[in-house]
Order: sequence, then structure tokens, then C-alpha cells
Amino acid sequence: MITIIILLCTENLKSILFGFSASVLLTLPLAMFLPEVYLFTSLFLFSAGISVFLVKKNAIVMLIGIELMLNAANLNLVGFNQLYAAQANGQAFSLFVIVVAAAEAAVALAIILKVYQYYNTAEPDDINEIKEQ
Amino acid sequence: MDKTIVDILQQAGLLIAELWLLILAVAVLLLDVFSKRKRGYLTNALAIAGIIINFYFIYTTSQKYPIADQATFYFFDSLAVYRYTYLFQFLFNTSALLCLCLGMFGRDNKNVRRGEYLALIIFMLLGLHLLAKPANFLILYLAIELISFSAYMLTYFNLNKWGTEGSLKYLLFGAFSTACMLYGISLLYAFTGSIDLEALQQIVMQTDQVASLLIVGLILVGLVFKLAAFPFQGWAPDTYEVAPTPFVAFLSVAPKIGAVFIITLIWQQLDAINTSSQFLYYLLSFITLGSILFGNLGALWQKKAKRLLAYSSIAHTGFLLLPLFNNSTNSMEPLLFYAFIFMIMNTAAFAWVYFMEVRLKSDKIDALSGCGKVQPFVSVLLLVIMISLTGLPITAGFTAKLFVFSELWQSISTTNTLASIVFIAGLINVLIALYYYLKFPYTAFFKNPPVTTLPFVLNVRQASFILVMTIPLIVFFFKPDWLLVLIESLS
Repeated sequence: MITIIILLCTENLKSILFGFSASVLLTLPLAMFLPEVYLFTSLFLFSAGISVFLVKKNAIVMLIGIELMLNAANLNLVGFNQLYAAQANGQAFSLFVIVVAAAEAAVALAIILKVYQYYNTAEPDDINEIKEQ
Repeated sequence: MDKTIVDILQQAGLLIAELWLLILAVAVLLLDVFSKRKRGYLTNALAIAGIIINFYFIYTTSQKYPIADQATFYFFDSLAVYRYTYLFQFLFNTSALLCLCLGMFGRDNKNVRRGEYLALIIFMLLGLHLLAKPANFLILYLAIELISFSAYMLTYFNLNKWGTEGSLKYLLFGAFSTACMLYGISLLYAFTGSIDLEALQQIVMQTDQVASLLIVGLILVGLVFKLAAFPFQGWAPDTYEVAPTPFVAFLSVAPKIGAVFIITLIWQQLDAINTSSQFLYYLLSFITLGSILFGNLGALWQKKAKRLLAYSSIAHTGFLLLPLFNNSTNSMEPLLFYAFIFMIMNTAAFAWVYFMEVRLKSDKIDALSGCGKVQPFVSVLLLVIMISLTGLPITAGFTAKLFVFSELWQSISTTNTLASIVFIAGLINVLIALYYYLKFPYTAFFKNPPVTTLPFVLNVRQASFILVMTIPLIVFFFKPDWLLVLIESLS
């Protein structure tokens, strides 16, 4: 199923946007807890993240894809915490994930900045000098 | 006082080694700021002294929180002391110490940002210490991220153009695989409501096969990446080639062994139930065989020493995972023996490469030619190290492989046919490995250097470092029980 979603997403950006807004619209008016909605929305986010990571050329956009994947995990953690409300395990976990993701972005952007200074591009496909060194 | 706080204060002693490392890292950073003119000599000495003192803290913790056959839990079930926790901490600490000692030799051009380099290595060691005692996935995730972030930055510490490229590729791969792992963990939480390692048992028992395999597979992605094992090994050669060599000696050993430890923990959880184990064995043999084959075949054509050793360490990962095929509880002993020997011989090999780089500014294997005639004794040490990496007698590398393979042989007779394929393929690969490892001593002894250049020589300090690293490789061949006694006393 993931592959189908990936295929759907990679067709064009429009379908990503459409699917995303559709899933947001589905989730917002929920008064009661429907596990499937969280599961499928997060699955969608995760697959979109993977496809962005695989399809896009620019390192910064690839990082955005990774960010989507992390947020898919967050959505699961926070959403399903309603089901296990006795402990706030999931919510606490997601806080850690958010902080770690911010740190990751800081490290990654610093490295990408350096790459850009040396190579004048931030596209990993164009940067291939180690083997010819 | 609140009961929670009292609990935390009482158990804080468990983290004394980690706290010490944290203080040490900050101290190293501060000292570096205030003593910039002294070429980082003081900072280096402080870091090495601190890591030696850390052995004492590991020892005191192991006295205060003794190990048992079953894991004991602390800090509201978020940390645990497993049977091999202190042993792995000892291993990581030794590896870091060797890395820092090796770094002392090439200070001439690497003194830029010495303090940050050392502090990052200490932070990485801190992450590894946490990796030795996780009881839930939150601690596991944080430990892995701490190790990874430090490693991403350390990869760039040669401060050149290629450093950024290797670092960027490592980071993109790494962030992708940890994101996959995190999604697996979140699905695990969604289905079981728990983030403990034990939740894995629950998920395999309660949900259907596809869901549980998806979750276990996603979690394994992050770990296999840290291992640099087969499907996720692509970053290893590039990263190892551009990173500072002493750090590579650390990176290729410590996080790898840590990831193997976590995989054994997960394996123990899943083995206890024995429902989906057949599939897991397929997965395991895919990973091990893939990494052994890929590592060995990739190494055959390499001209540069560091790249060759990177592929060889991918192959060694496969051998490290072989003991997992035996699901009896004592399968840790061959693994630990192998891990110890792997640490020693890999550090020795990278030390050799580092000395080449410091002197010649290149790591081409051809640069060794003529070395055997000028320095026969030191070149014999090179031969011993390479024979040990291959796994042939009169070196401990042979003993380690013998333990691993005899363990595998037992599991062939008891459980499954899959193990026999792995067994035969592993043995064939030892032969393939012979070819590329012997390239080093062959070049050193039989090839003549170009007339214009002088042959490569080691000075006395460098040679003695290599000698100190080589002695255990021969001693533990004749007396493997000494190492086994050491392992026994720490576990």
C-alpha cells in the first residue's frame, strides 16, 4: 500500500497538496477518537516524506521530507495517546522528537552551508568528488 | 520531599559515568578556549585522563548496581542494567581511549579546533554509554541520535572540501534511517501503548504477522544503518575516507558493536516467543550474508587503504552478527570475543593508515612499497595485523572466527538449514578476504618503490604504538582464556 501511495504522490505536487488538505479536513472536525484516521494520516505523511526524500534533488528539500517523516511519527505518538490516556508516554516522546528534530535541522543546515561554500550547489547528485580525489 | 525526586536521587548513582563524561566534555571545551596557544596539548591530556578515570566510574557503578542474569530496571523502567552493560561500556571506553591516543600522533596539522573535536568524541562516548542500558525506545532513540549527530559533525573535522561531502551524505542517509526507525517505534506505541523494549513481544503475539514484521523491520532499519550492514552500507566508504582517521578507528568499532548489542536485545525479546522466528532468520541471513559478500567483493578493487578498510569493516559486521543464529543464551560469548579482537585489530590497521597519511599525505597502498626492506620488523607487525583481519592462525583473529563458526555449527545441527548456507558462504569469504588483506604486506615486502621517492618509514613512537596493538593479537591466540576470563569477570 505504501508503494501505491508513493506512486500516487510522485506524480505531481498537486496530488500531495490535495491529499494533505483532504486528510487535514478529515481530522479536524473529529470529536471522537478514530484510530484509523490517525493511522492513515500519519501513513500518508510518512509516505509523502519518503517520496519527497527520494524524488527531490536539493538537500534542503530532502531535509523537509525527513521532517515530514518525523512528524508522521509524532502524529501517531500524540494521537494514540488518547487511547492510552493513563500515561502520557506518547506525548512526552513526541516532545523529545520535536527537540531532536530541531537539533538535527541545525546540524544539517550548518553542513549544507559548508557544502554550498565549497561546491556552489546543494544537490547531492552533483557533488561527487570523493572517489576522484 | 516528593517521592519521585527521592527515587531519582537514590538512583542517580547509576548515571555517574555518564555525568562524568558530560562534565569532561564541558571542561575540555572550556580549557580549549582558555589555552589556545598551547597547540591543544593540554586539552588532549585532559580528555585522555578523563576517559581513564571513567573506567573507575564504570567499576564503581558495577559494584553499586550489580548485574544479574535478568535485567534490573531503574529510573521508572527507562534504564536497565543488562548482563553485559558494563562490559560494553568498558569496550566503548577502551575504543575511545585508543582513538584519542592515536590522535596524539598526528597533531602537526590537526590542531585546529582540537577542543571541539575532543568534546564531540566524548559526547559520542556518552551516547554509547546510554546505548548500553536502554529499557525503552525513548532512551534508545536519544542515544542513537546523540551518537549520530556527533558523528555527522566529526566527519567534517579534516576541515576540507571532501569532508563536507562525506558529512552531507552520511547525514542524509542517517536522518532518513532514524526517521524510519522512529516511525516504527510510533507504530509500536500505537498498537501496544507502551514504548518499552518488551512491547516487541506483545506486538508479535497480538497483531498479525504483516503488521509486526513491518514494525520490527522499520526499527531494524535505524540499527542496521548504524551497523553499516548490508542494505544500508552505502555511506561507509565515503564517510570513512574523508573523516579524520583516529575518529574512523572509533566510528568503525564502537557504534557498530553498540548496534549489535541492541540487535541482540531485540532478538532476545523476539526469540522468547518463537512465532515469527523463521522469517527473522531469513532477514538475519540476508543482512549477514549481504554484508559479508558486499564488503569482501567491494574491497577487492580498492587502491586506497582507508577505503579498503571501510569495506573490510562492512564484512566484519556480518561476522559479528553470525552468533545470533544460535538462539541459546550463551551466544554472547563468541560475539564479545569477536568484538574485542575486532576492536584491537581494526584500530591497529587504521593506526597504520593514519601514520601513512601523516607522513605521506596519501593513503594509497602502493606508498607502502619498499617498506619491508627498510623496516622488516615493523612490516612483520603489519603482516600479523592483516592475517588477523583475515582470520588465519597464530593470530587472535583466527580464534575469534573459530568461536563464531563453531557456535554457528552447533546451530546447524540443532535448528535450521539456513545456517548451513551462511556457514559455507562465510568460510568461502574468508578465502576471498585473504586476497585483499595480503595486498598490504605484499606491497611492503615485494614491490620496489619508484627511484625518486624514499620508502615509507615509521618513527619509534609510531612503531611502538603498532607493537602494543599487535601483542594482544598474538597473546590471545595462545591464551584465549585470558580474554574469556576478562569477559567473564565483567559480566
